[in-house]
Amino acid sequence: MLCGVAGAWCVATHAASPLPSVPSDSSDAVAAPAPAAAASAPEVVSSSAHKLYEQARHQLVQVRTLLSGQGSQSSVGSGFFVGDGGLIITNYHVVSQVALQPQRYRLTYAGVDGRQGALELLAFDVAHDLAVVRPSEAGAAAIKGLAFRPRTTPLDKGERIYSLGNPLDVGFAVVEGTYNGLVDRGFYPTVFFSGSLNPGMSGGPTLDEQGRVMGVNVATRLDGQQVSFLVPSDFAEDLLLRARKATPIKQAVYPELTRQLVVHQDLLTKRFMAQPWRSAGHEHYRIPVPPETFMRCWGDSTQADNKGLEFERSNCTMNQSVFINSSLYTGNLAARHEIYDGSKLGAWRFARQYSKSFRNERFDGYGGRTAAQCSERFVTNDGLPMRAVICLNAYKKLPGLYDMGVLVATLNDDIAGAQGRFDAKGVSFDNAMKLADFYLKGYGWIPTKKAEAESKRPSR
Amino acid sequence: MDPNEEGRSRIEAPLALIERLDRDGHVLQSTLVYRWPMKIGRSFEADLVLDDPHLAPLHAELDEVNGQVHLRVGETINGAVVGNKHLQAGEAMALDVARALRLGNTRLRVRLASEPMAPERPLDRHLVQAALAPVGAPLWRVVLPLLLVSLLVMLFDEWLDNDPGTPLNNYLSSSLILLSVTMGWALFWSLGSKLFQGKLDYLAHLRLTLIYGLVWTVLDAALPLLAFATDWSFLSHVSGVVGAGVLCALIWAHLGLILPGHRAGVTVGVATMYLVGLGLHIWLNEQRTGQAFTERYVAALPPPAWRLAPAKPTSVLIQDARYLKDKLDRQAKEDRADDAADPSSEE
Repeated sequence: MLCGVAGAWCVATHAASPLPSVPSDSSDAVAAPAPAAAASAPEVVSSSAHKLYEQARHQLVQVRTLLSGQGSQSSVGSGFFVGDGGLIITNYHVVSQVALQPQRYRLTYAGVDGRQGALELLAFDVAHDLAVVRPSEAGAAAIKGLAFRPRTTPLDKGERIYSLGNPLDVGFAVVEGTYNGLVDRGFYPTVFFSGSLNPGMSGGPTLDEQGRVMGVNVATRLDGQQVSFLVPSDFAEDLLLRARKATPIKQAVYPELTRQLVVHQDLLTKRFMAQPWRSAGHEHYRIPVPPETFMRCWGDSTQADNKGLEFERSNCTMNQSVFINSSLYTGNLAARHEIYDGSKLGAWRFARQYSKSFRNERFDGYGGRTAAQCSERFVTNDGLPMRAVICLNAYKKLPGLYDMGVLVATLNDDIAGAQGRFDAKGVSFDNAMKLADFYLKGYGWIPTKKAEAESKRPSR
Repeated sequence: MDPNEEGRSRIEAPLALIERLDRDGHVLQSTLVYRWPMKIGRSFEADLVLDDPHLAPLHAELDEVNGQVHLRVGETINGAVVGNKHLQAGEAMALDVARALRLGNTRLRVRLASEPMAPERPLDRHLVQAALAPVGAPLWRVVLPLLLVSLLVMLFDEWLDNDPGTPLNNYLSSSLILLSVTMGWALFWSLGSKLFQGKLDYLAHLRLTLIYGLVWTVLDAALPLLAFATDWSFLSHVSGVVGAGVLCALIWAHLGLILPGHRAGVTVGVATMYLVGLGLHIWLNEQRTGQAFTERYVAALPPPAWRLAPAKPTSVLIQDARYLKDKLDRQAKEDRADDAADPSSEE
């Protein structure tokens, strides 16, 4: 999941395509690669960092994805032995190429001491971006892994934690940082780690002062400094339990991936629809704005000296989405709207600009989705006539999942109006329909008190 | 009495006319025939002396037998061509009604004085020209109002796009650009007229450009508005294709002016071009998006009063959208099958 943190880069190094980046939800975000110098910048490592690294170095591995044929590296991440039985935890996004195309890629590991070998994929949790792998050779089962920090003892904000991994394939490293609680307004709990995670450290462990695993490295924000993210170890512990009984995965994982995504979208839809819409604060237009429990809204408006169309915009997105492969992120919701005031324009000019804004929307299928199919008509809800369009794309390899977008333009005024768009990525058809209806029913017209009073007055 | 003898006795009444034609079929030179047979060649002994290096001194001989023109090919290496028949030296044949023949590099046409004449053909005027310009009216009187209307339409369109208080020179520059594009387009086709007809016909081409431009503007605006009013989205989806149709019709009209003698060929050619283009466009769209037209939804939002179709409860739209499922699933399945067949496209 965390690899899909908005504005964050999954911290796995890809050789061919550099690194997946997700557009940030903040307007000031800059999606530029973290300066490579950051990796080699001298960290002030305390004596406990030294001690912890010494303790954990035998459990630490680099996870490499190789091209099956020529054996050159396609991407690298990190991982660590945990518990008994020689199982390694890493990120799903580190092993995704092997999971989706096992005939084209294979996995190997390399330890701090130069130990190397092939890996088998046992289990994965795509929603939390975790995977469990195991060395193919029998001897590895004897390796004693790291222990998890008990769930009952949460960390306090400001406590030192230590992230381990192999940044940018430069060499194994320990990075000291601070635990800063969970990320605000996240859908799944995510640890906010103030430390420098770099590509290649994905899947590495983050340890507490006692050397116990409290999180798994997953992503970092590029528009800030030392704003990094960890998957809480609880999810890794749960997955590990499942993986113990699992047999190695040899086929592409699409069926299991679909199953996990169906569970995810059900949870997402239920939690989203359980909360009422917020108001957009307009005098007349009732416009659905999602609550900011696991979404974040940014707004802007025209300058005060504007001579043309005036508008107020709100854009709400989730800051997490599910990483499937480097070109496909899914399992998230977004809503935005613009409220237009064309009183300076007049009806003709307003119609032109209002149409232009409505035309300027895309429903392209890319990254494994079909082209869009749309339905459109005039609808009315709560006294507000609207033009509404519903477009859907089906996922080619994840049958039963769809992207759904609803487009709305209000039609009750010559020189004013509101346009909105709601998107649900990777939802079932039924949930898509439920969400579309939920969104459309969020629109309405709020009559003025005076008009209300007049309408109540008995006609003569 | 021999009719030829009688003709000659009446002081040189011509028996026939031989015309030399250029490659476009225009007459370069015509020669009256007073006496059969008629020798043709480069030599001064010939009755019709032609200065074509591909001709023999006495290349051919024409004669009239019972109201029919006969051709006999003389001592030549290039021979003669009649229709699609190539005659060698010494061969002879009767010419049929058209009586066009090629000797060396020279095209000739023969017309007999005794044959009935074709009726007078009216001047070749284009359909649109005929409808809008009364015969004899000066062209500029038709073009000027069109030009003014077009300019007003351009300015109105520009006005719609601009915010209040936009300086006038903004309108001026965009109008100038549009105007020069229109003028340039007309000039391009005039050059065609100059090439094939020997005259520029600039105003005629400009008029066509303006008329079709206005038709396009009206259709391009009206179709999406109609689609909005009636909620019949098809009208908006086809507006691009209809626009291309108008453009093809304009090209057809220009070509009609340039090649008035080839009206049928031009019509077939342009229609084929349009239909093939349309077919290709639809086929590619079907391949890529599973539907015929590029536009996904009607984007025109005129003032609400233009809406004639009723607004339904939201559940009706949801019901409509439910029907998309089968199509999407079918498309996803086809795409999967395509990807499986083509391993390079696997992500």
